[in-house]
Amino acid sequence: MKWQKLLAYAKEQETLLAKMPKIMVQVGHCSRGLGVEVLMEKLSHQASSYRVVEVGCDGACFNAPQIIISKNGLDKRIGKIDPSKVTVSELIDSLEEASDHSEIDAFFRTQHRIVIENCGFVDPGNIYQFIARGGYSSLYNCLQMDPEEVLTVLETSKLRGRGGAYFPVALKWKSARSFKREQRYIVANGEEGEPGIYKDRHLMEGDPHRIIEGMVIAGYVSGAAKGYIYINAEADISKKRIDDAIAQALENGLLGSQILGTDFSFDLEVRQGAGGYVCGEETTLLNTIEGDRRVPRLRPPFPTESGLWSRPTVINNIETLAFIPTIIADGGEKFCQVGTNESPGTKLFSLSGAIQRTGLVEMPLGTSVGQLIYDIGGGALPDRSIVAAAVGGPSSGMLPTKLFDSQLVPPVVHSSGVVLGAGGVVAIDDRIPILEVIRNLAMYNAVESCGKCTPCREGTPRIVTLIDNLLNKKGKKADLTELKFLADLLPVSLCGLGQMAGNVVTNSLELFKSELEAGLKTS
Amino acid sequence: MKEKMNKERLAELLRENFPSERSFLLPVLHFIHEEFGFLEESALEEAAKHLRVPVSEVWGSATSYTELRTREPSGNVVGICTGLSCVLKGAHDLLSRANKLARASGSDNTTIEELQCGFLCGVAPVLRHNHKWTAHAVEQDVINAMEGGTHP
Repeated sequence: MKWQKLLAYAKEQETLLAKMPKIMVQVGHCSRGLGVEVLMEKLSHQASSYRVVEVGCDGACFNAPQIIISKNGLDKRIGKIDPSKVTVSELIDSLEEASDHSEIDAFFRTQHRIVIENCGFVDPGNIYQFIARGGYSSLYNCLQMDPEEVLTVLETSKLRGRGGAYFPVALKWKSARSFKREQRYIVANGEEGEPGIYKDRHLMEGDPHRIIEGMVIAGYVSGAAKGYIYINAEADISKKRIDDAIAQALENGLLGSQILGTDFSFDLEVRQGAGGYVCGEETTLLNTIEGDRRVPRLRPPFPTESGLWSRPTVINNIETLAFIPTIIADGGEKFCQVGTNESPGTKLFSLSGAIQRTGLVEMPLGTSVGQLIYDIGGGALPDRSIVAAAVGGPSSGMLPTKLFDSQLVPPVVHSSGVVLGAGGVVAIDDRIPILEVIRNLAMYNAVESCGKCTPCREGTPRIVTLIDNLLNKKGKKADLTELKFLADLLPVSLCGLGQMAGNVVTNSLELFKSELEAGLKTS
Repeated sequence: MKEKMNKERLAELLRENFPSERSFLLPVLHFIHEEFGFLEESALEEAAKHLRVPVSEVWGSATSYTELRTREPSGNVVGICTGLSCVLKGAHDLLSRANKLARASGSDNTTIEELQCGFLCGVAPVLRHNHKWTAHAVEQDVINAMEGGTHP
């Protein structure tokens, strides 16, 4: 009954608001760097006949800062605004003017948007708008079901974690449920400390309620009463929007004690990390929540058996949790309609580097690197040519253009050590030598190593030194042998950072050997 | 630079805002970093007292985080992102410009930080000055930041 009332109220509010002309200003981590707050200020004060709404970003970073003006059934997107120069009347007057949409169309046309459908178009600070568009209905439905039934839906969807490990979600939840302990925990991992990845920020900034809904469902199914959302320290907008969303969810009985009048209670707390990739490693993250050093734990036992304060703990990536409400609403079969047989569904890809159109895109798993870089990204910058793409971040490697038809599927994109990871794709052009790129990726691993495991602590800086030798044309043949030795040794490390820190070496020894050999001393 | 608070005031703020539990160590470190601009030693001692965690362990934990400074930055802090996406859009040029300007000024009033990644890869290259990011940064932005105010 409580839910029906809430839903009716939300729909009523939405109908009222829909009639008013509005301007949606996409305020996010990226657009703030381009001065969008100045634009927001101008519009709030001067566009008095419009409702000015702060929303998240829709992923079209190349077009930021963006606004969408809606009036009398007309929608107009205006991008690449110069906040300090533009006037409010210029923006409003352009509502009926024709404009060139080709860039935006090319960016969005082939995307398959599920998890970011609301980002950029829905007010993250208005829970009723989220509810009116179907939000929290999956939570309501789950609470009417037995947790086992929900698990069956998830099993049908074959959803795998989107943080990089691609572990089956249903199996993880089931595992935590199977350990008979009084207290269990859910942790949403939003640390996102890898260069080139900015997907979780977009989700938290643009659609925070979707994540909360996913977490409460995870709590219900796994038998947990407490959750933590772990957010990167730099992601202050994400934190604010999640904090606000938690407050609204509590106010409306969708979080806290006796959710929607049922016996199920679930509390959420926000925690912030403080740096880098290792904080996002699941057992390190648990240590930092408990107040211990930023180092990983030995596994097994896995967190589903012994996680936070030795209790069963489910750790899911933000993107993974954001998929849950849609899968519950549409069923597991529908989720499997796109993607590959092995890895169904869509995935967020953070597209950046030397291309025309950078941004966050959602595509079915199995999409090729070329599709992202050329069709969506628009290819090389003027007078440049693309030579490779770094896929999956510093724990992975690069693909030369001749391998751009490789499918982006988890876990391995190419046998040379290129993994999908969290879905970063960085286009590399001829502006800097490939050896510089290899050094950049290797350096990241060296700086981020927490120092716990010897092969990683000693090996990652040594890799940088050896690559420096090659960069300075002082490399010896023995350096290449040593690089290979170190790369083979690193997988004995405890966590993903160390285990995969050698990938960039293995990958370049196989696919970019001539570039490495060019660094050998000639005499 | 904000005026530093005394020990008593810090202890009071810690009591008001954070339970005396080890699990609040990282939130407390963030709080001190925000207030002091770095992890000040006597503030960490206060944190250890409040959380009932040995000072050595507080220090051990504090120094393990790459985003938390353990030394007071001098004056103006300009951070330039050297993540791969920024490097591909000219971050090294911005960095060498910043270093050149710092050398030319001859004062040690500016700290130049090489940042691992600001996660604004879609609008690279980026720089950070006084907690504020500038996207699609050009040399003029570096000059403005170098001439700009001091770090809070």
